[in-house]
Amino acid sequence: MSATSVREAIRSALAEEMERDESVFCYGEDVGDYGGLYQVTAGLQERFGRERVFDTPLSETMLGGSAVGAALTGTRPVVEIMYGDFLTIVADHLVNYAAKMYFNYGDETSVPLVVRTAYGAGDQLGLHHSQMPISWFQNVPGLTVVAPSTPREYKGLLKSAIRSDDPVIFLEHKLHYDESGEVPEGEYTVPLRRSDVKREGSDVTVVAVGRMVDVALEAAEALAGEGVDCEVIDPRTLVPLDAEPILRSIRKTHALTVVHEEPTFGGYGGEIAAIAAKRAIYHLDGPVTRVGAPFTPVPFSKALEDAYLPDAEDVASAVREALGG
Amino acid sequence: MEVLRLPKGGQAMDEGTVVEWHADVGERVAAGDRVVSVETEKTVRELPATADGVLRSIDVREGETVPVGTVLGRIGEPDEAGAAERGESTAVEGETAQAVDDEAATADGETGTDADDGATTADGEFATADDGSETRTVRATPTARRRAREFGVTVAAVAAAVGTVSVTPSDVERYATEKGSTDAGESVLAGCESAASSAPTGTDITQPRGATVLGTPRARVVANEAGVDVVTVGDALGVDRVRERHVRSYLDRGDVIDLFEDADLERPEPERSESADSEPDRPGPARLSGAREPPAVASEGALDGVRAVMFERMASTSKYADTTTVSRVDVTALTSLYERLATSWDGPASLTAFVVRAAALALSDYEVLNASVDESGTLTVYEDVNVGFAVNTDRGLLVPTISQADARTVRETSAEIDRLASDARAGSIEHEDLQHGTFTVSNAGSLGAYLNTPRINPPQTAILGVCTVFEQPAVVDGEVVPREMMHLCLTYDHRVIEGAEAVGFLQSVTERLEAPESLLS
Repeated sequence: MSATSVREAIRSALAEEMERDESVFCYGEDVGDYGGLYQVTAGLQERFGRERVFDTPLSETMLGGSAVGAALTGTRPVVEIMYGDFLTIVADHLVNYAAKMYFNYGDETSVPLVVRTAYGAGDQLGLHHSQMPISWFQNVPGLTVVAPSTPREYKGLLKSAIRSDDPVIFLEHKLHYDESGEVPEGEYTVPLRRSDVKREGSDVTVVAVGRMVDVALEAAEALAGEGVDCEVIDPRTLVPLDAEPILRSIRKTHALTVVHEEPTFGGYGGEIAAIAAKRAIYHLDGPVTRVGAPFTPVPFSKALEDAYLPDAEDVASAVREALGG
Repeated sequence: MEVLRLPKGGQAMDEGTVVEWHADVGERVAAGDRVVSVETEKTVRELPATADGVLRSIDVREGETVPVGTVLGRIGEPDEAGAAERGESTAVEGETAQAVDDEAATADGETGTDADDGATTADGEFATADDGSETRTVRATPTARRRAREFGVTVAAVAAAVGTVSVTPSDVERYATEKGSTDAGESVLAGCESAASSAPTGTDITQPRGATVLGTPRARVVANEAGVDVVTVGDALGVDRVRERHVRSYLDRGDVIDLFEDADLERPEPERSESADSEPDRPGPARLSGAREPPAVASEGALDGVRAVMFERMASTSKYADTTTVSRVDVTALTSLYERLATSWDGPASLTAFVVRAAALALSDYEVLNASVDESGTLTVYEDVNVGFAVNTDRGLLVPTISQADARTVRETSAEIDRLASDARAGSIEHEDLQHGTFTVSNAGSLGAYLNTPRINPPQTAILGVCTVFEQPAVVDGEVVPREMMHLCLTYDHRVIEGAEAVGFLQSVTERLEAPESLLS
């Protein structure tokens, strides 16, 4: 084990997979020569050459279409979309083509592409460069959407995503890149579609997504001082969702709070709340509470952005509400 | 005024022809009398009068073919206002009416004789104003119908009074106000208005606050399992939103709360424990809303000493198939003998010693009760009969062992019991004296227990509980006489001891105690 940043964890996942499988290649805007806007792919072009790590013009439409085409030829493209906000431009290729070809042809056609993208607020990048795009894609059968929360999982889940035969949107929080944590030495993967209990507890189940996992864990520590024992669950793969650990937890705690970064209305947490209402209603001892952003674009101003983003106190309040305090 | 309409006779029927009128205008008819014959789909049907009265008009003459729902004629009284206004003379009048009614029939597409009933309910899609203007379909907005229900009036009545065929909510309100609506209607309305006016912007109307007690799904499950109702819980604890913890709190308190309520006594406020290691408070409305406190904690801590041993040993019997059988022993002879011996013997005499002696002798015939069993299912039957007996001490219950009890006389056993009990109470008993028991006798009768089912002392397979001696009328030689009685309760592990064995053993002990001299040999 060694302390590794998320940036390094992603880079080593890309390098290891390119080393392991020559059909894997990376491209996107500023991915090659510049090493990526967030320097995730720094050094990869020198190491693997311009054939496998290269820059493209500013055209997400082309990035999406070429990735689908490349995947259909049997390669495993890893495309970087600079900001998750721009996924709307690639959406046609992802939603109408990549996600549907397996179903459309019925002949085991697969589209093994990965779209990596930086998402999330907190850097005062404003309304066009700060969004959490999960809700735009959670309703697309055939897409896998992954949002890790630790360096170990960034690496292990990206390796699994690259090996997956289904198209994967891999969400990287821009505030995570500099975060460090223990990453195992040597080869390992983290499986897709497995929710993870990040903290065991007995009083309330808190399901948190992406960077909100850290926020939820911070809230859990604060609540522990009040005698409230939170169980924090990280779905990691958001679509398709591994719901059973969440339901198991609710059957134990009888209370549920969901936390995500995008606006609450139409947000990912609504699906978890609905699943809980359907499959664990008789275990719920209070309302399911949701923590998310207000229904407004991400503000530029630091003060407003701080107010916009859910923080540990927001989570703690929602937990208290779920518990009836 | 009743109207006769051409009824719909079948799916395909949409018109009919009047064949013959059986009454003339002005002629009296009785309900049920045939009034007119109509031909539909090549069959002739007779239409009866729908009420007693006079045939007021013939609106469709013989030979005419008209659509379903068309008014064919009217029955009423000669002095009816509507008829008077309409005038008496028929042909032109009838054609006009027919034209109007055709419009109505076409508009709703479904009008038939049933719908003409003036008593059409307020819920109905259409109501008919049964006044002078008559037979015109009354329409009401959904809100108007709701308001009419709330006031307990019909939209038809509103339409008739207000003089409209399109009833609005304000028509209903005006009508109801003028009419002086029913009490029920007023209270419903008042409730609606107060609920609406008291709900501030942003109030979650799915969680209305008020007198109603509601429980969470989890609380309802727990309450249901415990056989209580969440409303009862809410009322008892003074909360209107019942969660699981309220149900548990209610169950923990039992009936205490109700007793206070019934007696109208001042409820004592429990002291809050200030103990540093008490449970930290959980956030909850029970505390915040000033609801009753959980019981104050006097002390709390891990079990120690004898209780810790008891906790462990009793928990280890949870896999036992504990079964208890009871016998009633006539101990009149025994107590008499005991009293005589107690005064004549130099040393101590113990009633328990007789029971120990009886049990020790009986165990030789029922070896499986003088045994131990382990978790692997291994049964160890002992040759020695070492009977433990329970002694209450300051440090808790101890069970000293009378070794080879079957080889000791009652007198010797009495002395041994005295020695062991004294040592146990003094805290000076030797460790060895507490070991190697193969069977146990527990005398809760000395404490006054009438029936006491003891728990097996593991790894043994049975325990005999001795209960208190009490006087009871009994039949001896056909006479009711006072006798001294005592219960013996044998608890045995039904995994290894058959019921017949247990009962046989207990009968053997009982018989020996009822013939106590045999125990002295």
